[in-house]
Amino acid sequence: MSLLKDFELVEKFQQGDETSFNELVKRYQEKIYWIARRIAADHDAADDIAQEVFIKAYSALKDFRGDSAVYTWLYRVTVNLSLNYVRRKKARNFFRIDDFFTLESDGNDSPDKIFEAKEHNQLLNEAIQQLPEKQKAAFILRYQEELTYEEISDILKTSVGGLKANYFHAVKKIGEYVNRAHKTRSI
Amino acid sequence: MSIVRTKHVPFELVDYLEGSVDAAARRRITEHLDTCKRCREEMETIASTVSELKAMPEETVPQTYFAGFLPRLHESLQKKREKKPLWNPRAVYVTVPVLSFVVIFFLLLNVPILERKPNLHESIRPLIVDLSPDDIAEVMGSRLHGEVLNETENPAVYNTMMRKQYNAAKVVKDALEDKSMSLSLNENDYQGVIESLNDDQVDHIIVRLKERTIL
Repeated sequence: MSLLKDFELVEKFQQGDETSFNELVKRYQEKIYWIARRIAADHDAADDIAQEVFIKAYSALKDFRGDSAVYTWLYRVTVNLSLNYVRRKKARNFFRIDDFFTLESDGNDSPDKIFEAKEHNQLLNEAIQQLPEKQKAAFILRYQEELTYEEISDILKTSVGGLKANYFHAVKKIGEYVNRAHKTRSI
Repeated sequence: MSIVRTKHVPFELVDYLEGSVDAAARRRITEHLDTCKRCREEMETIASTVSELKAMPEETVPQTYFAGFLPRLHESLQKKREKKPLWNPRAVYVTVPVLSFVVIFFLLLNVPILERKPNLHESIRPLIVDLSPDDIAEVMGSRLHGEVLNETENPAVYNTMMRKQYNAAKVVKDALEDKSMSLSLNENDYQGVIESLNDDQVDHIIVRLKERTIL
């Protein structure tokens, strides 16, 4: 069976075919999870957000008119829910980078090297979490999800020029944060 | 000192360093960097960050997590269906404005400007239709003094009441005989005359009754 396009799956779902919805979920669950995970920096939150995105999609896709691509809509909802989560967390002054994930290793690294890599990775993640909302969203969608500026522009409703600026400033701020952290820790 | 002739390129530098620009853009940016110290410095600032980010190991989650995602989603959808409220939340968008409109409409009806005047015709006509002058006098008296007339045993009070009844009856009779009303009262056809009264004529009777403070 040839792979159906997103809009074809939506059409079939609108006609009552539940398996088409399942297919869409399988197609996008990992992407949605990782966008949420990178913005929220928390596995449980990312899981909740991903579930909520598809619960919303289950209702919304029945009326989906196809003005934009399905994934654009899914990613936009994901980014918005994730940023809302971060705002609520900030308001409660609670923030953590969880240890749920594991770093891929070739298996030959020494424990010290693994620890060092993990610490550096954590520092970069912290730096990403410190970014202002727009820069963070642009950075994650561009750098980590490797979407084009045009796709990100559709998702975030921002101009391509503005996104390029956000992306550049995000990378610059990550570098500054890491440098500051190294200086502080070496004192 | 070289002169920079092309547009500054800071916002394209991350893509340039990552190698995610096309050949034409790469050539343009390279040429600009050859002549622009400011952009070169910007590039040096972010170069190490870009390589560090590139070196970041991939994060992973256990494969069982994604395998269990869809079944958990269906459980959540099922729970949501079971919790579904009896009313459709979308109905709020329709019912709230409609109900507000209805409430405002009825509130406006109670505003004095829209308030319906009590129709004296409605209260006078039953008094005079089907009644003889004596009946009218009795009714008018009853209306004015109600239970007092029926219950009093004081002759002075009773006489006063009766006089007022007489006056009321006379006012109605005078009004009906008023030439301006183009009516000629025929004692034998009194009933028919009363029934043929139009609203203006009833108004006239009301004015007269008010002048005599009978209404």
